[in-house]
Amino acid sequence: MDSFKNIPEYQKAEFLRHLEDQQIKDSLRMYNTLVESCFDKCVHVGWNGSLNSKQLTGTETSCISNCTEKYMKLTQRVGFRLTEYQALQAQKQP
Amino acid sequence: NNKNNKMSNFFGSGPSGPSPLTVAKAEAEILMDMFNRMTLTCSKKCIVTHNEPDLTVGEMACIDRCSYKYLEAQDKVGKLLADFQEQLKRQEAAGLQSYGPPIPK
Repeated sequence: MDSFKNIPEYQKAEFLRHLEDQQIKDSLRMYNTLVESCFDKCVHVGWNGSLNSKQLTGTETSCISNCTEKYMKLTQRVGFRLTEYQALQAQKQP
Repeated sequence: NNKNNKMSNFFGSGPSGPSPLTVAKAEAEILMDMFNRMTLTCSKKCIVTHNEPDLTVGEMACIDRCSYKYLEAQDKVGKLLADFQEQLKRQEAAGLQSYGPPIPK
């Protein structure tokens, strides 16, 4: 990150603490996002869906499991592409 | 070097602008927010079936395309926004009326 270089030395530790806090919050946020996303995709409750029981069906459970795994792999892949894109952009600027 | 720092498009750099620490913190947060949005958007567009835990070849290709397009779109929007703000500043300096969000001074 370019703007890190501009921070005076005595403030760099504060910035790194901020990054750490941010990572923690983001992990929790990601958890909530993941649950909502996979529920949306996998669980169909309502007049057209599974009204019968309060428990997740076998299909819903395996769907959620697959959904979670796929999302994690997607997150990795997107992160990789982001780094790649940023590297390409850096090359373009002399 | 300021060309690489996209945040300088939105904030001023120099004595009248925010401190480098503030800018760095904001940039870190924006980057994370952007990554989260990109991930969610691409997951909605690319992952449709959940029959297996692995990504299919098609899904992987879709994710790659989606990521790059998203980033390119973001750059375009950023440039357009910066141009528009420049235009507003020029109009304001010329004493012309300008409609739109207030520009921080």
